[in-house]
Amino acid sequence: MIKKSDIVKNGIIKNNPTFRLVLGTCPTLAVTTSVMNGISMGLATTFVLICSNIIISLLRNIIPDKVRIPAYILLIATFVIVVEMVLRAFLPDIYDALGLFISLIVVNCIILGRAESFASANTVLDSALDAVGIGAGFTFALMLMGFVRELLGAGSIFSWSIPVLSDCAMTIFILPAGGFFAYGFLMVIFNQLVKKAEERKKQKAEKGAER
Amino acid sequence: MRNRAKEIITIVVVLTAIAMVSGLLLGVMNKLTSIDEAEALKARISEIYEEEIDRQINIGNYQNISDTKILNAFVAKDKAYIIESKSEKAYSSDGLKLIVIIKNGKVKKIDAKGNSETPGLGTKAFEDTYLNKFIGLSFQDMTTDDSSANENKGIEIIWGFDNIHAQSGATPSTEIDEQIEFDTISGATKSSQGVINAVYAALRFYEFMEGAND
Repeated sequence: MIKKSDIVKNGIIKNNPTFRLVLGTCPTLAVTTSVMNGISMGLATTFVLICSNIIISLLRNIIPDKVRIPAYILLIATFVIVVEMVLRAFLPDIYDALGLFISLIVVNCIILGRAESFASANTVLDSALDAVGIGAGFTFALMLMGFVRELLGAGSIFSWSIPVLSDCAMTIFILPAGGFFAYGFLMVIFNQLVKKAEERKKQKAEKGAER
Repeated sequence: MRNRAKEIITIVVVLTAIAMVSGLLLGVMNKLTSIDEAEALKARISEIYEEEIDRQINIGNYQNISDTKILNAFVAKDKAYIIESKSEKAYSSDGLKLIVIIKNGKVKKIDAKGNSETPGLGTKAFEDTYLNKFIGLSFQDMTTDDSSANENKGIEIIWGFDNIHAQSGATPSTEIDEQIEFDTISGATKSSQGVINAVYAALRFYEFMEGAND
């Protein structure tokens, strides 16, 4: 049986939705023109993911198998609209910045993917932990993308202009093409680090077994 | 046959129950998060302009120029016009909205808060260094082909706007001439053009109202 802490850890590293599973690419490329946008999008998605995973896990024995996808979509759409309403009322700047991409969380394959592959087959607690892990992994990836793109593309961080960098900013990084560049480079770096960490872990385990 | 009917009923009941609970939740959330847009706008105006609002102007049948719209207009107690104008020239699907304060026929203040354009690119058009170029401009300044009048502001205007002077009796045109050039920002051409159009729309509305008052 998988440990509870491993469920969360897997979502952030081993099954990172952005860098490992390459899911949710549309918001990853579209909204990460700044760190703030990346964090906001990540948190909005995490909220929807946690709520939908919990409810779908609760209803897993009630929802008929044949209509599970429309039922999941209905539940996910409800939580997305809740997020949209809250952002519009209390955080209008973020609501304006994310625009259409808040509504598009409904069709984010990370959420439907976790509902279908995890929440519909696991307990409520495990499903909630999985959502926390995957959500944290997605938020971390979006934040990293936003950081790199805003730093290189606009020469600023959290809209704070960095004196020397802002004068030689490479605009391409905040344009769609730069999004692909940043995504590709970060994916390579992330996967290399994970691979090395896994190899090190494996070597340690082998040494332990030899002794 | 009976099993089939039972299955269909189960599906209908489950989906209906989910839809009803969702609807209820959304209804409650809507009640909790609903905002009075008119009050929110007035609160925002009070943040950017110290004078109290005297009255709201009924925009009624005012004919907007293409790609722009006057959303709201108020008159402050000091007779300044506070105009919320919108230009469709923007990358944001919501367009570009400005609050332009015009006093004695000249732009006194511009607030571009709440617009979402690409950071580092489109947002340059909302920086004070660009917006301040419009301070002190009148409708006549924006509709003259005498560029020397605006040279000291670092703004180049090539005549092309319509003429809506109420006193001249000319039929108001609703098209902006494509020849307009107004010192747009490199890399933020569309957004800065949106700012120009929104400021122009506000001045045009002011001119229209003052002409009507005369």
